[in-house]
Amino acid sequence: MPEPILSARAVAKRFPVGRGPELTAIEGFSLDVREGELLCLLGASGCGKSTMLNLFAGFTQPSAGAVMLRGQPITRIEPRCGMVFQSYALFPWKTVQANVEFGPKMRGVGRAERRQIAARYIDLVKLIGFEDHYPAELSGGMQQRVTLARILAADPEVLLMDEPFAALDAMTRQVMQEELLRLHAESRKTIVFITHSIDEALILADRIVVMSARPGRVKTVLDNNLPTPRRVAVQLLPEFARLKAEIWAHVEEEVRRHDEASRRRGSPTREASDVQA
Amino acid sequence: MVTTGDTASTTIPLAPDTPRRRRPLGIVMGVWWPAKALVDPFVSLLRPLPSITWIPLTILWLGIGEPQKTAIVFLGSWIYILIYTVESTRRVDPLLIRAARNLGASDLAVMREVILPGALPGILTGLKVTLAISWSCVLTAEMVAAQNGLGALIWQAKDWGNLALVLVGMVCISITVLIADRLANLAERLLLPWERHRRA
Repeated sequence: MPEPILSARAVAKRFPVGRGPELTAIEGFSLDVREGELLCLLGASGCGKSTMLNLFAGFTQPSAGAVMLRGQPITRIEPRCGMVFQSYALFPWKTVQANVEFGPKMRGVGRAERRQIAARYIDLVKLIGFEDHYPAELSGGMQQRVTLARILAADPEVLLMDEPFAALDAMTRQVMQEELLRLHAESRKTIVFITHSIDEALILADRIVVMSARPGRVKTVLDNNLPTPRRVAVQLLPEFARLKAEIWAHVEEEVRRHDEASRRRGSPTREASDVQA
Repeated sequence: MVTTGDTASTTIPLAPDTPRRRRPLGIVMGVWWPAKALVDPFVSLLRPLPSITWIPLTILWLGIGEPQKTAIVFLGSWIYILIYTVESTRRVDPLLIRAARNLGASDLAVMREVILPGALPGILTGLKVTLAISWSCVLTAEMVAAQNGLGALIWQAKDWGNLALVLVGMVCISITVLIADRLANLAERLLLPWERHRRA
């Protein structure tokens, strides 16, 4: 097997909580991400999947273990691992064009070439005609397209996506899922995609990593053998239902465990019921 | 607004009690830490003084004339510009700073591309507030001690019992402030094009 592009070795992440004991978000998490695959990290809210993504991006450092990009430890914010945020994080004072040009500009690419790069990715996410609009003038779905174009123009080796479609309405989300599959097929970029939706994981992923309840670790890894190229209609296949039931069996156990642990602590359990069957 | 009494210590807590998430931004802390340590004591001492209390001192130092008026305006308004600037810098969304770094921005680029434009609306609001404050500073200075200027004219007209002149002076002030305000709004529209949808 070729060398993994991104890997986590026995990673733990603990956070201080007030004056009390530390909170262990992730413990003993090991994972290899293969070059070019679309991998979904699936788990309930609070299972540490966003924490893991922040470690891959270099926003935070592991308390134990190592996170590596092509065998090199990630020790600071890593532009080769581009993040797509759930809340878009577009620069409100920049037009669509300027937002998409940001990555190339930071690399020192000249103005003319920058325009060309931006034009290509604005075309790819189907936003031609909106180049001079500011983000606040666009709908949620369009803003998320801009973040996709912006990150693709920055040309990172890995795309990290933190529930990027969670804030979109159901119909826009389906369209964006198909767009992402198309972008992945065209660019062959490695993508690590976080979701708490089993459906979304089954539609998108080459491999699905189910995470355990807190402290987060890899509970099981499934190859997604649903036919490709995939469209949202893949949900109608009997095989889809079978896989969904299989994953749900894994997830349900974790949700119950998390729920009970929360009840014992007397803390709210709302987030535990967050996994969508 | 920044008119409550205890703001000097609470509105400019730049470095030590800044939330942890801001720490990675070496440059802001690096630039502002010493700046805060230097400026803070002066701010605490000078802030409670209304601009009118500076009049005797500035007359002794600068005499009666334009430089003294300028000094009064400066002494009465710099603190508001400072507070608004510091506060709006602190309020720039840390997620945007993180996103910029993730897209490969250096410290300097983060300052230029994110913190400056992010803080600009707040800074301009501060300038507009300061504009109004500066006006009352000028007029106070002119009424208390000056030979010329609108304030002095109104004050003298009162002594002459010339009611019409007093009223004309007041109308002039009103119109001037209105025009200045319009100009400030125009500048804002030009400098903050991305907020156009909010005004529309």
